[in-house]
Amino acid sequence: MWNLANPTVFLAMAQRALPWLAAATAALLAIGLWLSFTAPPDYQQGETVRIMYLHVPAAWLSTFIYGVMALAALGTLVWRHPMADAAQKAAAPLGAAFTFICLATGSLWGKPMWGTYWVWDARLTSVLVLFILYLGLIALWRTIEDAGRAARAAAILTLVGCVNLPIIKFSVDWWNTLHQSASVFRLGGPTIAPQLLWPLGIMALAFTLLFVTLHIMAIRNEILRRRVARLTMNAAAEGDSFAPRLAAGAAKG
Amino acid sequence: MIDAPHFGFVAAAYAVAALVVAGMILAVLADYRAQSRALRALEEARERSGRES
Repeated sequence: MWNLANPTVFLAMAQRALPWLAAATAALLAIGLWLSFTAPPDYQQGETVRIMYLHVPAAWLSTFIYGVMALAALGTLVWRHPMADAAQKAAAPLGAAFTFICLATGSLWGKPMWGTYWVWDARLTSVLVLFILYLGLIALWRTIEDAGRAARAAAILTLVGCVNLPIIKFSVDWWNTLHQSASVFRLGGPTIAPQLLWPLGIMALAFTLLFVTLHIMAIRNEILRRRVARLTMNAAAEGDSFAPRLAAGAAKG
Repeated sequence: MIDAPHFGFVAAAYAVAALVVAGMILAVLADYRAQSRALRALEEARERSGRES
């Protein structure tokens, strides 16, 4: 595990694991989509229940990815490990994308079921805050030029933003919300019929694998980006060191 | 299923998700290609300057 914190080892492992991960993700997504469209319609929601096979996995990932970023932020602040910076930076756009899918699909489900695309209830608003947090973190990484300073600032903001995670989870219990309360991860087990629970579970697994695959690819990109930056700086420094020789040559000429 | 009420909302939800997922995959792949190309160019330039000096 600690070996993976070495960028060279990570790149070699990623090279070997990525084809398998991509194949497993594609297979699970295909099975999940097949189950999503062959599952019976819900007795109340009708066909719109199929939106839940996208919405629920995306919602789960939106908070899970933030949790991953919070762990990476601890790695940045406590151990000051550059791979933790890379993992955190690589996860933010993926988290934003999955949160966007969650918000968009929820909105498209809300119109036929609630009669409105959006309502400022605690669950919806806290997930919107999460989306804005992701965008803020991406902006922070892009604004601060020094990679080390950017990583520490983003790590602090990520950890502060963690306060939003229990708010998202318990908002449906703490306040009167239009959003339904937990129906899968709850004491006493899921309240969903197995015919609907299976496609939901497979899609959640497929989305999680998709995130893992893309996250590894994005971390690999970050490692390469840092190598490019280091080589560019070395080339610039070497260019400077040529300057006296060039100057001497020019004087001789 | 296509005749079912609200099918348009279901189709729109899947279309949005497909677009975002495809966008994520393409962005990560494009970034990989760009970084690999830049790294190759820098390493070639370094080797060239090493041979010249």
